[in-house]
Amino acid sequence: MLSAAPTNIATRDALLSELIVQVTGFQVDSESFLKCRRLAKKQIKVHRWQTTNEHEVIRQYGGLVEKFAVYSQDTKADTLRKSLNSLLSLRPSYHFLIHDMLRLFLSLSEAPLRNIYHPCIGSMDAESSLTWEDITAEEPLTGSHWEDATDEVDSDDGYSSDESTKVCDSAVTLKEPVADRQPRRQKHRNPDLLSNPNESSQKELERRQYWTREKGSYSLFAEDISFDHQDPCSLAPSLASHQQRDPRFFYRPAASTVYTKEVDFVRECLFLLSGFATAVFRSRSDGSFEPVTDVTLKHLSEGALHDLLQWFADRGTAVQRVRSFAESVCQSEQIAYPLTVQAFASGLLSIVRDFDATITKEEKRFQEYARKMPKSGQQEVTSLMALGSRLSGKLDILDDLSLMLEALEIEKNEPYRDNATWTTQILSAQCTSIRHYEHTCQPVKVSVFVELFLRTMKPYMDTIQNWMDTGKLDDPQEEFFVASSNPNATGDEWQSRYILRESVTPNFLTHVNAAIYVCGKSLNVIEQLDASQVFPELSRNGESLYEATVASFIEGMGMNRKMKKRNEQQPSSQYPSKSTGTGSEIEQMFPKCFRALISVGIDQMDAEDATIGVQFEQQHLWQSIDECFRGAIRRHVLAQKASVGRHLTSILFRKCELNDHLKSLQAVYFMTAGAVMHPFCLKLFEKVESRELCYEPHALNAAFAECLASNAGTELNHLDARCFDIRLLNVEGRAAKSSSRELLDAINIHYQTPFPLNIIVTPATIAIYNRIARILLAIKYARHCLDTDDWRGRKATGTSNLLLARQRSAVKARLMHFVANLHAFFLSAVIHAESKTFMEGIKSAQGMDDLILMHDTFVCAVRDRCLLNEKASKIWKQMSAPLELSVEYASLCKKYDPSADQTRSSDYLRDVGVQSNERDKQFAKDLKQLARRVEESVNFVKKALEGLASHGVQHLEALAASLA
Amino acid sequence: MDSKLQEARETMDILHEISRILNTSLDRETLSLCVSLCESGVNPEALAAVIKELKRESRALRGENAS
Repeated sequence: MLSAAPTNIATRDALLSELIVQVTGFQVDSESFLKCRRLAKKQIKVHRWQTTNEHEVIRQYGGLVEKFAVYSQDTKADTLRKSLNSLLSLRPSYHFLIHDMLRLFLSLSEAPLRNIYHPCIGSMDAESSLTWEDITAEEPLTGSHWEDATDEVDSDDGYSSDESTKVCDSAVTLKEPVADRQPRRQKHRNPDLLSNPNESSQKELERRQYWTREKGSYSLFAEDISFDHQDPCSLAPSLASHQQRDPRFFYRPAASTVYTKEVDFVRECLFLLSGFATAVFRSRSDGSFEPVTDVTLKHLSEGALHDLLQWFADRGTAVQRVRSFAESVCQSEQIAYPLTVQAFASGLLSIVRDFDATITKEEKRFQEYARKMPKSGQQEVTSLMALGSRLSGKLDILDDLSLMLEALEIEKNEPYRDNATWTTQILSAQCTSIRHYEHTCQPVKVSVFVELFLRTMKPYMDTIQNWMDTGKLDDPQEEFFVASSNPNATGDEWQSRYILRESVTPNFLTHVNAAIYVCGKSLNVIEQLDASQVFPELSRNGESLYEATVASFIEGMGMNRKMKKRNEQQPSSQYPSKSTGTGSEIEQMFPKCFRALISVGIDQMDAEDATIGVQFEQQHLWQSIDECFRGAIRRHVLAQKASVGRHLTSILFRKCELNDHLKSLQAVYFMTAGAVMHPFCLKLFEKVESRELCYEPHALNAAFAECLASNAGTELNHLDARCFDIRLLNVEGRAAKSSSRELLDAINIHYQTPFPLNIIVTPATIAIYNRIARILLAIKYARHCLDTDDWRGRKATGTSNLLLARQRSAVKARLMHFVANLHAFFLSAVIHAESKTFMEGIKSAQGMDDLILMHDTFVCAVRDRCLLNEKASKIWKQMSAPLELSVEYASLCKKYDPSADQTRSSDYLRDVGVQSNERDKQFAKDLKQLARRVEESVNFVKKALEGLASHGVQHLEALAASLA
Repeated sequence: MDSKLQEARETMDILHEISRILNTSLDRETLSLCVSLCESGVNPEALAAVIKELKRESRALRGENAS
């Protein structure tokens, strides 16, 4: 029949008519028949299909066999495979016909997975056997073995107790009367069905099972199937629905898909992750990858496959980004990247190399499966899902690194970014990531990022160490947060030569950046003072700052140093570090215990036992890594800073005579050197009153030098008159017209502080010293005025004079009480107390910053306790009123007292037109007014001070009581 | 001649088996007609479309008659 070759159209039409009758059952020449024939002829004559592609057909049948196997329909798979082999072994002349027929079957096929198929006897291997193990391994009540009739029933329920007992194959007993099987299935079958034990009942029984719920005649890719929400787990309608609705495949040309095996996709994914070009993934313009859609699998919907491949594409993009960055930095010869960036790239490269080694292992595993699979005839074991689950841990890490790089790369394009900013961002981003992973309990990621962070920070820590050990900036790429503002500056070495850039300080150094900055600056000062002396002390026992910090960090994390030493004896790490040039150092000094922990921890990710990560997590449960690391850095930085500070303090006291200078300042400005300052003040007041000062501005310096010289050989030897320059400020042109008080307020004492003491005694503190000195001068002047009014030696001639003398005495006593107590308070309660505390505390200073702080605190404390700060200016104005009244009192006495200055007094009285006999009355009247003003002023001051004291300023309570 | 006949019969058996596995709903006679039509040069996809159309027409007419 097959050899016959009908060639004419009439024969074909006849065959078509027969087919119509056979399929439809219509009568020949009926209207329906004619209509169908017309339609069939037209469709056969004009159609859109191409000739059969043999390879395509064979591929599709291969996929179908695979699909049957996947769905555990081995009978169908085996029969189909054998049938195809038999067909294809026929004579080649049949092949075109056979492929056509196979294609016809594919087109007519309806849900072959749902079809219940019973093989005929000839198509099955009669020798195949089945055990109870096979039966129980399958779904209940399915499979051809349920058609068996086993006579060897040894129990009441009709089942054999021996699972290894061979049962006959279904094909052998398929025609056995169903009635014989009835007793065995009595407990499991519906009685209705038992009464009609034929194929329909079998189908009904199958239909009622939950895994073969009736769904209608679904075809896998039928176009008219809608998704059934009542049965979402059904694969066929799900796939069909997905296929229909997925816009990614809607407009794809027909017949443009190449079917391949999953093992090929696995291979392509491995290629992608290794950084090679693949056929399944294509590269976009932005460097990312996406899966192509013209290669697909037979057992996955294209959407599902696309989603699966997209995951690999995203991870491949991440790996490629990390790999490209690391290689571009490490292999760049033209661009001089910052050392920290190079170290970071080196760390990334080592992670990528580690990942490449993992990929190599996967390839070996993949090749083993590929070799074994054809021999064993098993289903493909290597799958995309399995590959993804094995690599997901490391790929997640690389994905995170890629995101970090992406953020850094975006910022790299900012025009204002310099090396310091870039370095800071890299270090800070890693530190932040570690903190994040620690808080989210991801110990393996913590381990990897800690390792990377420790590698990255090595050059930065070396720069810090160089700065802290020598005071020199070894920072060619300008990454460090300390920068030299003007290398040739010789002025203020402390404040202006080096600057601290807070904005480019990595976040794990923000708590010690000031200490690092001060330490280096202190070394610079030491070098300038004592250049020939080598700084003797290092607080790290010969270790570098990086080594010591890492060791302390490891100790802080609760790890055993023995473990470190043991690991140090092991072969060095495989990490390349070509870029930094310090690779060997890193490898030698890198905490091997950490490395061991990390390597094992990562490898454990795809193993069953991940105890290493748990161990790591438990070790830092009570102290965060961030805190531990900051503590390790703080410990060494502060130790070094304290050591340098002590040395500098010692030099300042020993060589620069800091103590003597501070005493000199207090002796002059606070007038504690009474032997010198008292005669000097008398001369000063004399020159002020005589206005001689206005015409001889340098007379004060000469007077001071003279007073100082008269005390030579005493304990005031440290006072050097050359350091002081006393002159009037801001009174040029109006000095002669100024009052004595204004002249005293214009006095300024300049102290020439030598380097490096000018760092401590700054112009700002000298200004405060001057302010206090002027107040003391005002008090002394008031007291001087009261003291010079000496009328007690003269006799009172009359009653009025006696009363006047009493009145005068009362006012003077009141003023003297106020001035003397105020002076005593300033000197005793404020200046001496604060000075004593300061001079004792300064001996324990730990460096320049301590000295500056303590001195500033001392000066400000004296100023504030004397109520001379801005906030207390109104109080001080009231307090200074009795001082002015004292001067006024003295002036008044001179005006009315004939014994004081007869000429001036007579002139004055003549000028005002007061008669001589009335002057006592006028004097008494003025004194009375003055006494009232004094009383008001003192009472106001007392109340104000008591008010302040009630608000917490305790020391003013005593002052108020003493002034009242 | 007998061997060719036997071979043709075996081929038909195999095709029918595959047809059953794929659930094409083709009986032996229809299958023979399909083989003959394919031998005569009819495109199998077009033939499959015709068979599907015929089945649909038949179902439609039966449905009309039943109603």
